[in-house]
Amino acid sequence: MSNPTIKVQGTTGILSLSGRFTSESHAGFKAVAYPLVEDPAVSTICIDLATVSYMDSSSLGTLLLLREKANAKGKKITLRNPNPTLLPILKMIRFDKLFETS
Amino acid sequence: MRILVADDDVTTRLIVRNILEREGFEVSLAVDGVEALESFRQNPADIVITDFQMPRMDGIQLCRELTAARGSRFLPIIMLTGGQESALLRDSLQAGALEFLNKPVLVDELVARVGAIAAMADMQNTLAANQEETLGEIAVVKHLLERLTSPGLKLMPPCFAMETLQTRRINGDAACYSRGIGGTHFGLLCDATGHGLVAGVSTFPVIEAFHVMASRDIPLESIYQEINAKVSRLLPADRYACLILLRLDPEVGLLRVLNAGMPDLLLLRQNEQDIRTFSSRNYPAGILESPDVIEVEDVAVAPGDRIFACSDGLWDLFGASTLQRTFLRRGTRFPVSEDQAWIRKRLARSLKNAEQHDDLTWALWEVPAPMPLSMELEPASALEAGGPEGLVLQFEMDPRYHSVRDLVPNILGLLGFKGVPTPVLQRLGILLTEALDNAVDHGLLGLDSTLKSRGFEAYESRRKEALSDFKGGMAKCRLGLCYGGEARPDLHHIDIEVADDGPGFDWNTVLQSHDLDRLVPHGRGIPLLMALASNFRFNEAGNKALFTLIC
Repeated sequence: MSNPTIKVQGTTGILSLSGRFTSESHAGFKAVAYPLVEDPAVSTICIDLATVSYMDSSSLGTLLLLREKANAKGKKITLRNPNPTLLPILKMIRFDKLFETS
Repeated sequence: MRILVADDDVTTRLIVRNILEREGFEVSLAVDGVEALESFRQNPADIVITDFQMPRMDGIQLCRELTAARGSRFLPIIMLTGGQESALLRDSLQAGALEFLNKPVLVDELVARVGAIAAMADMQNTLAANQEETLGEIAVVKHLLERLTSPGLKLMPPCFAMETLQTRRINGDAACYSRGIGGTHFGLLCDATGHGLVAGVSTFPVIEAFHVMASRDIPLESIYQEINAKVSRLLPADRYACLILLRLDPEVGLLRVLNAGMPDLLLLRQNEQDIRTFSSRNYPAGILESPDVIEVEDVAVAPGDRIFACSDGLWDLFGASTLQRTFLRRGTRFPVSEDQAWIRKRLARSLKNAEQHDDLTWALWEVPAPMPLSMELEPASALEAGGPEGLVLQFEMDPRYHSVRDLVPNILGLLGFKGVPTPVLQRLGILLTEALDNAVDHGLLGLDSTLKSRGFEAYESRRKEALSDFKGGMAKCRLGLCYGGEARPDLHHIDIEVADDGPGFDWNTVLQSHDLDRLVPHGRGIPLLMALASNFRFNEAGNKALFTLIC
């Protein structure tokens, strides 16, 4: 996975990921995502998956950890633009219900 | 760390030894390649320093021999050369040398080079030891998994196949089977997050909860809840386990599926050209602390129908549509054992080209013919009941708050603690479940059992409606454990009364219209009770059934 990029629009922090999101991506993801959780100006963290080609189960676990952290601060995580191969996987484990998905 | 120095020149040997010993290394010496090789074979050094030109065996040949002799060990070889002749350097590198040192040897250069290489050798040794340790740990976890799952799998009927294709890695896959009470079959396919030991260990609580609960015929929803609670409680937030739970009751021809994060389960009915799929409708275990809704699907099945489920490793390997097409084309014409061999072969062939060797888990069940009821009947000699009642249990339940399927296992558990033997418990379980189901469904909810002939789905949905309209009332059960008296201290029989607050029914007509040879899905309850229990009778109103289980 190449480095995730961040854009803050109003109270939404948009985190764009790309390539393969796997256990190796965990550290890089954490480094940019956790500060967003701590940022008082951000109330929603939107994870843009448009250019993510693959996610393994541990990366899904990484999203769960982030969700737990965000919920503790009363913040929301949303997922957007999963590609057609990713969407069925997210649906299978019901992440589309756990995170707001568009 | 030990260094072997091979040089035919005695001065070089001694200088090098002195310098290295001052640096804290242990040093052994050899006068040529032959002696060096001999020394290495007897007591392998961690690093070898060799001269290029030596009698009997030169440095390059020694490199080749040592490379063959070192096996999988890491062995850095430093070549001492007179100059930087490129052909010589190339040959040395090809033969297995790692570094060069110019002669005459300079102290600083020798110390720096050997120091760097020693650090590298040290790291390699540590890595190798760690890897060995990890492989050892993986082997232990695999062994434990095997111990947990294989006793159950051995009880599978021959028309079932479930397995995890073994690889050297672990990625949290497991397949388990358990027999329920009264001829029911339970299955579990599980895929815990991640790879390696953590994933392997994650499956333990899942497997354990499954075995304990399935053998007591506890509903899939409750098993899932327990597994979910265990995984949430025991594992960190980013860990979860996808699973499929199956319950197959061949007697009534009912398959129940709970899919939580696994690929679609496939059902192929005999003589049908359609596959029915059961997609994931629940969160994998460990994601929510307590899920609000747990969805199970019921489907009527007949002997010969096939069920196929697998972990996503297999799903990814072939793709959903290929799997479905293959399953459909293969059909139900071969025995499951033959299909099992065929699946193994297909997997072996596909894995040769696959880049990653994940564990692959799959299950193929063929719905067996119902067991004839008489198999369950052990004609017990009906001795006269002697002695006083030893223990009386009495309980009442409102179906809005409790389910028969949850209650009965708890009663059995209690009696198990009281020393009632397992075969008796199993029969008691069937009797209580049937009688209480009748009391709740027909006595309290007023459902007509002939509804079942229109399919269990229709029946279940009608039942849900009736339950939400239900205004209250109890199903009651009384158990009297009678012991044999002083001469016979063992449990002799259990007297059972099952009653309900409903209006009762015209049992005379029902009893006359049923016989054991007519096993249809509806109206099975009473003949089953009559077959398994002694002295079965109703009260006048028909809202209380009385019977005896001889132990």
